[in-house]
Amino acid sequence: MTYQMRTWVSWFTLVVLVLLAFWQIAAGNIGFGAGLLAGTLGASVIKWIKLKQLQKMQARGLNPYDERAHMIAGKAAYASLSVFTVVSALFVLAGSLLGPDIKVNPYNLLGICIALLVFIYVAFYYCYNTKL
Amino acid sequence: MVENLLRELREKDGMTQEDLAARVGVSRQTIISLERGKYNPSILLACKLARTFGKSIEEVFIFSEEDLV
Repeated sequence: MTYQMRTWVSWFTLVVLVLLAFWQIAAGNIGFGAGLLAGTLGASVIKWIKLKQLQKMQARGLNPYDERAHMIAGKAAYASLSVFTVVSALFVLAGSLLGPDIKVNPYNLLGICIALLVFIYVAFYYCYNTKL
Repeated sequence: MVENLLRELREKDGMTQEDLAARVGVSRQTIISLERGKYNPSILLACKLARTFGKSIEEVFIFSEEDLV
């Protein structure tokens, strides 16, 4: 997938999320809809600001996605995957042995896991970017 | 990490880090990391950097015997 295609897909995804949010608000699920709308608008604003910064850099002849950026992204991805896997496995083990039986909403749980993984990745990216 | 003379060569030519980054197609952060000796460039980037200063790779990047063993 080219960079331009990825950009179009991400903007399309944000539009779809906004439409879903409005649908949920109209259907009476106001809390979920409002949260989705706020998150999507926040992500759109950050994405717009990042796009402008990247365009400024590229106009000056700089390449923000150079080999060092790719290397750091690779290291951060590997580190976050390893940490997440180990911590999740320990959680599963400890919970299975010692934890109570609890009912969870699988969609909420998956959402939390995704958010945690992204957070860990961003943290590792920041650390490696500072260190290297 | 391999030592290099990037900072000296760049300052001798009156270039900023941003100028050098634009010439070789990387970000300014990469040039900063290279000059601090925290990052080893790929062979392609090393060639581009050496060519920018009109020198060979060995004149820009200093390899010790330990690096080559």
